[in-house]
Parts: sequence; C-alpha cells; structure tokens
Amino acid sequence: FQLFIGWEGVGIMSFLLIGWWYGRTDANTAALQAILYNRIGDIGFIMAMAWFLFNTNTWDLQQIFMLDPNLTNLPLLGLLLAATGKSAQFGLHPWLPSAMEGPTPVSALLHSSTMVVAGVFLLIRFHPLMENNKTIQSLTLCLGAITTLFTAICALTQNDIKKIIAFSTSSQLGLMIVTMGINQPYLAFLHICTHAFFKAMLFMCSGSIIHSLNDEQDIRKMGGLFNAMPFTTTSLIIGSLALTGIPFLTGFYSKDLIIETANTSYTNAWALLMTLIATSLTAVYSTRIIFFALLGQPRFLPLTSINENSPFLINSIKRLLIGSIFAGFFISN
Amino acid sequence: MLKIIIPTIMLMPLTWLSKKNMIWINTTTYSLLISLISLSLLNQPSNNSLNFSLMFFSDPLSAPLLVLTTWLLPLMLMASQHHLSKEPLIRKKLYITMLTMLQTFLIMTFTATELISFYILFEATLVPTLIIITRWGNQTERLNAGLYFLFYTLMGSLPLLVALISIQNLTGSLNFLLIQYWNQALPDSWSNIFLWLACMMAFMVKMPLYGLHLWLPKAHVEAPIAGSMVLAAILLKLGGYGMLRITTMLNPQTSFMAYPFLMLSLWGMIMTSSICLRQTDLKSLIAYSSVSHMALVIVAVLIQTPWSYMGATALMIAHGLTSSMLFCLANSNYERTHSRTMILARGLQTLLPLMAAWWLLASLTNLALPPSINLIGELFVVMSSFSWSNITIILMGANITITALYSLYMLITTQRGKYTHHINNIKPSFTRENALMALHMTPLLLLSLNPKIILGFTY
Repeated sequence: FQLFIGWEGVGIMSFLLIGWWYGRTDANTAALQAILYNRIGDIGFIMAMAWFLFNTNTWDLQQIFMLDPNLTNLPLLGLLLAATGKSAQFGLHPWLPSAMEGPTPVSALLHSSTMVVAGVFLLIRFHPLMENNKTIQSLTLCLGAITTLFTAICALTQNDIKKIIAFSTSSQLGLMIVTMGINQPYLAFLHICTHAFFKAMLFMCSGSIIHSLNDEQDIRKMGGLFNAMPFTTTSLIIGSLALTGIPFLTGFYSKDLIIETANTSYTNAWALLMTLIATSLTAVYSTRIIFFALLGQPRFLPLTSINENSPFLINSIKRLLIGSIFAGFFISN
Repeated sequence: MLKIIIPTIMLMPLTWLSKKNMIWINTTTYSLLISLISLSLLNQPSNNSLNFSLMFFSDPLSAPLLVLTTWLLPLMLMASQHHLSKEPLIRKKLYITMLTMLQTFLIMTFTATELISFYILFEATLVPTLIIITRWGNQTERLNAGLYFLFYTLMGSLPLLVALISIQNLTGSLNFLLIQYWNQALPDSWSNIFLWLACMMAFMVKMPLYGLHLWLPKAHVEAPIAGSMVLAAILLKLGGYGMLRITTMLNPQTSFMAYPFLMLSLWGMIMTSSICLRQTDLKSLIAYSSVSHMALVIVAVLIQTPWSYMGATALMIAHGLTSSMLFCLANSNYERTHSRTMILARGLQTLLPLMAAWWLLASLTNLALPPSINLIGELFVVMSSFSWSNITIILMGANITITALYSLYMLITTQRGKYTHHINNIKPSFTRENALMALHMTPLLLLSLNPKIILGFTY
C-alpha cells in the first residue's frame, strides 16, 4: 500500500513538473498525456493488489513471498502492465518523449534516473514471484526487447536533442526489462544505478547547451561547440561513451554484464537479437548527438553568449562526471 | 441527540432576531459550535450503536455522516454570503431559515431509529431543497430543475412507503435495533421481489443510479451554491445511508436482484466519467463526477461484503467533502465571470495562485490520490468488486483512468494556459473564500491520518 502511495505520488509530481511552464499549451497536454499513460499502468497495479489481497490475504511483501502462491499469472501481468506504464515500455511509451516539455533538471531527475525506473524497481521487488513463472519471464523479455529496439530506431531519426536522450532512456529501460526477463534482478538494479549517473549527466549537459544557445533544441542548428564549451563537450562525450558501454567506464560494468548473461543463458533467440541490435544502435545515436552538436562548423546564430559560467551547473555536471567514470567500479567491487 | 437538534432549531429564531449586520456572523458561529458538539459522537466505544432515546441513535455508520452534515452548515452559510449580498434583509433571513430547516431534517434523518420516521424526514428534506433551488437559483431552467428533482425523487420513494408499511405489518416493528435480531430470510416469491424493488428504488433514484440520474445535473447546476453543496455532499449520501440500512433486511433476494443494478452502475460509472471529459459547463462536470462516484458506492452496497461497506462509507464522506469543495471553487469562478462556461475563465493560476492551489488539492482528491480517504474508499470498493468477479476490475480501472483525466482536464482548463484578455478585472480572492476552501480541505487531510473513524461499522 505504501508503494502505491509513492507510485501515485510520483505520477502526480511528474504531472506538476512537466507542466511547470504552465502558460505553454504543449506542456499542459504533455503533462496530461503522462498522467493518462501512468494511470493505465496503475490499473495493472491495482489489479495486482486486488489479487494479492484476495489470494494471499495481505499486501505485505514478506508474507506474499513466504506463502509463494501458485498461478501467479494474473498479478504478475498486472505488475508488468504497471511497469509498462511507468517505465514507458512499448505500448504505453509516448508520454516519455512528450515529457521533454518540462525543464531540463526535471527531465534529468524524473525521466532518466529515478521515476522511470520505478517500474523496473517494482518488478525487481517482486522477482521471487517472477522466478517461478516462465510465461511472465518470456513476456517481459519480449516486451523489453521490442521496446529497446523500437525506441533506439526512433532515436536515430529525432532532431531534438532532448527527445533523442528521452528515447535513449526508453531504450535503456527496455534493456533493464530484458534483464528482468532473463531472471537477473540484481543486474537490472545495477544497471539502474549506473544508468542514472550518465543519463542525468547527459540531460544536464544538453540543458547547458540549450540554455547557452538561447533555448535552441534542434541539433541541426547546433555545431562547433567543441571549442566553445569544453567542459560540457567533455562530459557529453564521456556520458555517451559510458552509455554505449565502453570498457571500464561506468556503463561497462552493468551493460556488458547484461549482454554477457543474455548471450550465455537459455533464452529467446529473437529477443536476444533485438537487444544486440539495439545496443549497437545506442552507439549510433550517441555518435549522432556528438557529431551534430559538437563537431563541424557552428550552425547557430552568431550572437548567442555561450558561457559555462554558472557554478551550479558546472558543479553538478562535475559530480555526475566523476560518478559516471568511477561508480561502476565502486559498486561492483 | 437533542443537544444537537434543539440548537439547530433555535438557529431559526436566531436569524430572525439578529440585527442586520450580524446575521451571517451569528449563524455561522453558532452552527460551527453545533458541529463541534456532533464531533463528540464520533467516540464510539463499541460496535453497537449509541442509543440516546427511543427515537434517535447513532452508530459508526451515521456518526461520520452526521458530523459531515453539521460541518457543512457553516460552510454553506459562508459560501452564500456573496450572492445574497444584494437581497433585502427578509429574503436573506428566509434563505438562512431554509438552510436551517434542511439541516434539522437531515440531522433527524441520519439519527432516526424507526424506518417510518426516517422516511418522513427523507421526504421532508425535499421541501426546503426545492425552495432553495427554485427561488434562489440563477437561470430560468431552475423551474424545470426543481420539477425534475421533486418528481423523480417522489416517484422513487412512494413505493418505499408501501414497502415499509408492509414490513411493519409483517414483523411488527421497524426499529433498527430490533430488526437486527428479528431478521429472517425473505422467502423467494414474486411479491418479495417487488418488495425488494420498492425498498431500493427510492435510494437508487437518490444516489443516483445511472439510468435515473437525469435530475442530478439539472438540480446541481441550477441550484445556488449552498444548494449545490448540500445536494452533492449530503443528500446523495442519504440514498447511500438508506441503502446501507435497508439491505440488512433484504436478504437473500439481493444476490440475484442486484445484477441489473450492478451492471447499470458499472456501466454508468464509465459513461458519466466520459461525459465529464466533453463538458463545457463547469458545474455540470462536477455534477456528473458525483454520479460517477456514487455509482461506485452503489456497487459497493450491492455486493454486501465487509470491505465494500467500509469503502462505501469512506467514499461517501470523502466525496462529500471533495464535491462540496469543487462546487465552492466553481462558484468562485461564477461570481467573477457570471458564467459557468469553463473556457471563459482560464489561466487563473497566473492571477490567483492561492486559489489555484486549492483547485489543485481538490482535483487531486477527486481523482483519488493516495493517501487521501477518497483513495481508501475507492480502493476498498475495487478490491471487493474484484473478489466478487474478476472482470469488474477492467471497468473499474477504466473509470479510474477517466476520472484522473477529467479531473486534471478541469484543472488545466481553468488554471493553466494563457489567461483570457478580458479577465483582468476580476476581484482577487476573498479571505472568506480561502477560509472556505481550507475548512473543506482540513478535515479531508486530517482524515487521511486516521481513516478508522469513517470506515463504518464493519471495521
């Protein structure tokens, strides 16, 4: 029950924060859209709660695991629906790109690291029940695989920097769901932690770029920032490298482990193929961001005052940068 | 119980004898004091009822409703101050007298021991409400609204009179306390089916059930603010209260008689919620949302499980406070723009941020955000309907989604977006209005901390 309170609470906070600039109609519709998809997922949550109450007489996780009910198809399906809604899996995903109407720190916090992983977190919490249910595992696997491939392909064709990062978040979430599908809750949790670092940093860097270019979000109109904003450039490149899982940066520790486990486990070959293709696509769209935003000749108006002077921004990116590089090492050892 | 009834009756001479500039102050203060007395009733030491006399009693089901009724009277008086400010003194006093009379009848109804006295007072509450709607409503449709209101309810409740008299003949008494012990299963026969129908139809109309709900949007929309508040908050709950009381006597027919009404309620929930999405009239939206919430209560009562009764009572109290608050908010809009169309007063968050905060809180509780008591009520009802039949969860889930959508749609349309260009001469929020909203919200939030009080007699 407490989970549900928090669950709904973040949904509403998401609504309020996406609609922060409430004078803007797009922001309001995006906020409403977020609530709609979240609520559909909540139906699944409530169904699972109802089933648990009716069959195991409790909402307490310890008691549910002790009782270990059979035939857990229905509640786990409900929880999967909840995770789909909250974590923007395929089918209930459109709200995440629209949520980019909110301010960048909001996107950095909610929609990359903490809130969207609530869905995955829910599945991790219930993994003792999922271990015994092959059907649900296959379903999560396929759902995650479709999501990561679909959103990675979408990310390839986007022109708005925040939307690319949003789709990349969605793709990584799909990867986490795939990890749940191959019965590795601990790896999924590890990926949640490591992904939080570099995704939040990517969002903050993009926020810095957008702000210094006077609210320009289209990457076709950026370029040549390599020399003009060195710190942001550095962090952006490191973040993208970590995202693709370059060895010894943070992403490697979680992402590579996931891919290895998926390869060596007895699993759905088609889902595996999807995941591998999606992983290679992460490298593609990350490079796309770097290429368009940083390299080449400047394509923006010449009179913008590009600066990295705000200490708040730089400090926060600095901390996330250190985390992106070292966190994986520290967490795994 | 006389401690509450006699002061309420005395409020009437108070209004007629007060000086011109003291009528509002006097009545509001004394009605607040009366509500404090009724709070002591909430202290129920056991599951049996607290008996005060042969005629009045209170038990964990009626006590919260009673407190809600007495709490709402000062709020109604506060809300009506503005639109009555230009009326002559005698009419102001008449209005307050009507409200007080209604209040007395309501208090007596909720605490009645005998079903016939319950019925008489149930009908009696119609009269002051009708006068309030038709005399002080704002549009010409109020006459039509009054007609619909009166005749729908009367048509529904006349069979109830017949049924009650026949039960009196059969069992010798209609006293609640005794009926608990004399209860026998009704044999299965045609006349008993009609008896069931006769008993339930009055409350179904009052609730209202989806097919019989046409009086509600009219009455709510045309009534002045105090009328809307009391209608939404209390009068609908009379139906729920009656159903909760009378279903104890009606087994076992309920197991098969309830099906058509359950289907109508489940479907009606979704239909009325969907209508809310397309409304242009603010009060109409809130009225239809009331129908939707009450349909949940009907489902809960007809399923007859302990959890569902808890959910029904919690939902009734929660919805009373929330709907009343939403109507007050809509009225504050109406007083400024003199129109109920939603899009005429948008972008209010820029101009009246505190009022926007109240709008936000009201909308959030309307869509049943945890841990408010609205959620507790809805959750219990959903749980029990799941246990009754697994498939109902789909409909309930759809209703929850649509409720969230229209609540937030209402919020966004009135608060967000760019404000209209003709809005720059609206008056800022009065302290009275802010106090009104705060007084609505505070019980709601406090009850979230201890919902035991309102969970009714099956806790």
